[in-house]
Amino acid sequence: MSSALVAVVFDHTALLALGAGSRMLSGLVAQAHAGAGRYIYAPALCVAAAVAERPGLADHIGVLPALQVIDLDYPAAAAVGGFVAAGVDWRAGQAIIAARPTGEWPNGRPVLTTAPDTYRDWGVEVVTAT
Amino acid sequence: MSARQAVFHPYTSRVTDTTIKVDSSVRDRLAVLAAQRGATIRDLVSELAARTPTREELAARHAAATAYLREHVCPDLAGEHTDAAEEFWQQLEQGRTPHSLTAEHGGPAAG
Repeated sequence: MSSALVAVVFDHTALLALGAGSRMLSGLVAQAHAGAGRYIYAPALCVAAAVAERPGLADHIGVLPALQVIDLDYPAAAAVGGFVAAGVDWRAGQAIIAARPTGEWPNGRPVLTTAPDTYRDWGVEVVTAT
Repeated sequence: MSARQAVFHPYTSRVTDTTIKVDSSVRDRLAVLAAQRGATIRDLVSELAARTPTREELAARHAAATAYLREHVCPDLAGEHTDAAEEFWQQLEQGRTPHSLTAEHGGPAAG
C-alpha cells in the first residue's frame, strides 16, 4: 500500500461524465477509496455547473468520501474573476486554480476533463477522459 | 476537590501517556505543522491517528464506495474498469501522470 498523497481535480465536464455513468470515471472514483492518500477534488464552481445540468450529482458527491469539494474563498473568487475577464469559461476558472502548485500540492494537481483544450493556455497539467 | 480536579483526575487515571522517539527534524516539522494549525504536537498526532484509516477500514470504505457506484451511478462498472483505474492511481503514486484516462491508458505517461 502506497503512502504517497496523490490527487486529481474533476472539472465540471468530468463530473458530468461521472454522473452520466462513465465506467472509467466510476472506476477511478471507486479506486480512489482503495488508498488512504488518494483524493479527487471538485472545485465548488465545477460542482455548481455540473449540478445545474444534472441535479442528482450533488448526492453522489456528498456520499463518496474520496470526493472533496474545494470551497470558493475570497482569493479564489478574485482569481476566477480575472480568468473570466481574460476569456476563460467561468466553469473552468476554479479548476485552473486548483491545478496550480500550492504549498500543500507543490507539483500541482492534474485536471481530469473531457475538454482539454479549455486548459491549453493556462499551464496546468491535464488528463483527458475519453 | 475542585471542578477541574474532578474532571482531570478521573481522566488521567484512565488514559496512559507514552513517549515516542523521532528524529529531531521530524519533531521540528511536527512543531511547525502544529503551530500553523494553532494546535499542539499531541493534538496533531492524535488527529493523524484518528483520521488515518486502518487497512480494514480502508477495505470497508472501498467496498462501500464501489457498491454505491454500481447501484447509483454505473451499473456496468466491472473489474476491467477498476483495474485500469487502479493502474492510473498507481502511476500517479509513482510520480507519473498519464495523459488520458481510457481503458488502455497504460501507455506513455507525461514527465
